[in-house]
Formats: sequence, structure tokens, C-alpha cells
Amino acid sequence: MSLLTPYRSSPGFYLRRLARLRVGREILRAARVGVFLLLALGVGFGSAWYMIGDGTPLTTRKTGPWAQWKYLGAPDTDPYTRARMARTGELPVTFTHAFYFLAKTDSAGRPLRAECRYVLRGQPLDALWWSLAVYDTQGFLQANGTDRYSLNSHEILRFADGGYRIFLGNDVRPGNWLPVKGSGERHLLLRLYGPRVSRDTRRGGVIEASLPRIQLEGCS
Amino acid sequence: MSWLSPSYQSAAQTESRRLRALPWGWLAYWGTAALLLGGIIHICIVLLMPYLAPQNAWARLSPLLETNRMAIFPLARPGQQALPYLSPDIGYAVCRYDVTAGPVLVRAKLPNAHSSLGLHDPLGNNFYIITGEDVRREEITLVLFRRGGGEGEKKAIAPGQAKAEVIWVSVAAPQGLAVIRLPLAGRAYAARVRSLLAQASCAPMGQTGGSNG
Repeated sequence: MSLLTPYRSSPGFYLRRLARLRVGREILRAARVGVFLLLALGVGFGSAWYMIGDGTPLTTRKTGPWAQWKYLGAPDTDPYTRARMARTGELPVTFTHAFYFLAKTDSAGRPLRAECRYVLRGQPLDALWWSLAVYDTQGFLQANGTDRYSLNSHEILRFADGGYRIFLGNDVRPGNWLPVKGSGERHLLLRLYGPRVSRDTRRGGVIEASLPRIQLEGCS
Repeated sequence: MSWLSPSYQSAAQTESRRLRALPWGWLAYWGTAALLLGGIIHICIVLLMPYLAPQNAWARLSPLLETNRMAIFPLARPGQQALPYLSPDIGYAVCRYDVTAGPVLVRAKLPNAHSSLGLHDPLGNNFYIITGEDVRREEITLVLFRRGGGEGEKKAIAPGQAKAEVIWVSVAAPQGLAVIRLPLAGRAYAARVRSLLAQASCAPMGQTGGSNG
């Protein structure tokens, strides 16, 4: 037996060993509780954040890049839509009188960016009035050097068949040009007032088929 | 695993023993518990968000508005946008009404089918809306009264207001927002829309209901 080895029959040796064992167990227990709480918080906050922010088929209808919260603004809407309204701070007209379609990406799924140029091609929308506007990701307008921040159904130039083409970007374009300057991601909001909807489904099937496609032309 | 070489067999057996040694029962038990707790947290967040969100529309607008008084918003532009996602080509006028002390009159002109006057509760829900398509006259008057009350006032005002297009609306929450939305046909119409919004009013019943925007 070496002089450095503790004398095993002494009570101190066993007490120290017991203490080390207890501390180890406590650390293990704390680690387990930590993992458990992290997992629960991650699941709870993550799923709520996603379902309130982007929606799911329960609450939103996706048509290409356009997402529509199905029961936005209604007093008897679902809890997720109500939570979304509270989080964004928007004050929408109820879905029986207005549709709001939000695009965060182009038709290929790439995020919309202020540095890029896009062309939107669409067919006539069956509504009393509609308007397309560009916002930042928080829903606020960004300066673009002009006083034009939206295009609406009264002022848009159309083809003979009623279809239209809208250019988005920093470069001046003839026809329907919606200036976008700066940098960072952008959101497009297409709002329709007085959409013609089916009485049974309260859905505007024709409108969804007519929503414009968003194609990337290039980036600077 | 006879097709594996002996060294690989040994490694595979070791790995298998290690996997068996993991506390699968503990993981399944506490994993399920974590998912359940996560579900409860999820439900609490979703249900409480409308009441706890510090930046909902009511919280953003309340400091900007006087009670029972119509305010005309400037056209939404960068840096002068009271709420997210306001349209740059819609003229807005908003009244923060309070019917606690009695009915409130909201007057508006709805010049075309897609213009509207809507009522929102403090959670932002649009519980009532009337559009230019729904009314026979350009000017509309809403009398807001608290649910379960207002019958006396209704009888009192009815004969005097017989010629005007008056609509009585009972509101469940005593406070809320009355929002006039007048979409612009183009930028050239901004002055006309502003003039129409200036003729709107919001005032307790009994007071003069003239323009106060």
C-alpha cells in the first residue's frame, strides 16, 4: 500500500466517496431536468411561433407563394389567427368582405429581396377593388425615392384580355412599375375588397386561380 | 451477421450492447412528458397572446386617439404608419369609442361600393362592417350602444332621426375602434378622400355630431 493511497478503513474515505457520488447524482439529475425543460420549452414555443407566424393548413390557404389566413378578422376566428393578429398588430377587415394574400417568396420559393427585380403576371381578380403593396418583414413601408408604394385595380394598366404585368425593383420600367429600394427581405400584400365568393364555401376559388405568379428577373 | 468478418461482428455486438444499455425506458417516459408539457405551453401561448401581446392594434392606436373623437390618418407612408400593413392607397379615419356612459354616434360617407365602416373590438376582431354596397345613401350613421342597454335612447332618437339612415349596433365590449376605409381610385383622388373623411364624426349621443376629425 502506497503512502498516497488513503486508508480505506477510515470513515473519512467512505464519507468523501459518498459525497462525490451524491454530487454526481445531483449533477446528473439536474442535467436530466434541464434537458426535459429545454425540450418542453422548445416544443411549446417553437410550434406556437411557427403556427402563429406562418400558419398551417388548419388556418391558412397556400396558393403558390401566396398565403391567406382563412378566417382573418372574424370575431369567431380560430385562436391561431387571433394570436397572429395580436402579434403583428394588424387590423384587418373580416374575411367575408376582404381577402389578404401575403407573399414572402417568389413562385420558386426564394425569399423576396429588395435588391432583386421581379415580374408579376396575373389574370383579372374578381373583386370590387384590389391593391398590391410592398412592405418590410414587419409590415411597414420602406422609402423608395418615389411616392409610389402600391398599385391598385383602378390605376393598373392591363392587356386586352384583362391580364396584367407588374415590375418590382429599383430599375425604372414602363407600364406597371412598383419601386423597391434598399436591402433585405420584403413582403408583398395583395388585398381584395369585395371579393366574389361562393356562398357555400365562403371561398373565392376563381380568385385563387387568378393570383399573380412572381418571377425573379435578377438581382443587383 | 455471419456474412461480416469477425472484427466487424465484434464491433457490431459491442454497439448493440451499448444501445441496449441506453435508458430507453427513461427516454420514452420523460420524452413523452416533455412533449405533453410542450403542448400545454403551446396552448397557453396561443390562447394568451391576444391578451398579452404588447403591440396589438389596440395598444398601438389607443395613445394616438381621443375617446369618442374621429381622427383622420395621413396616407400610409414610410415613417408615418400607425399600424403594420396599412394600405398606402386607402384613406383611414379611426374613432376609439366608449359606450360606457351612453350610446355613441358614428357618421361616415361611403362614396362607393368598396368603401366601408367597420367596428373592431379591443382584440382587433372586426365584428361589424357596412360597405357602400350595402347602403342606399352615401351617408350612414351608426348608433353604438352597450348590449343589454340603449332601448330608452333608441325610443328617444327614433322619431327625430326617421329621415336619416340610422343603424343601431349593440356592442359586447364597451370600448372598441370604428374604422372608416376609403380606397383611392388613384393618387389624384387623395384630396377628395380626405375631404370625405373630414366630414365623418364620432361623438356621444346628445352632443353635436358635426365634423371633429
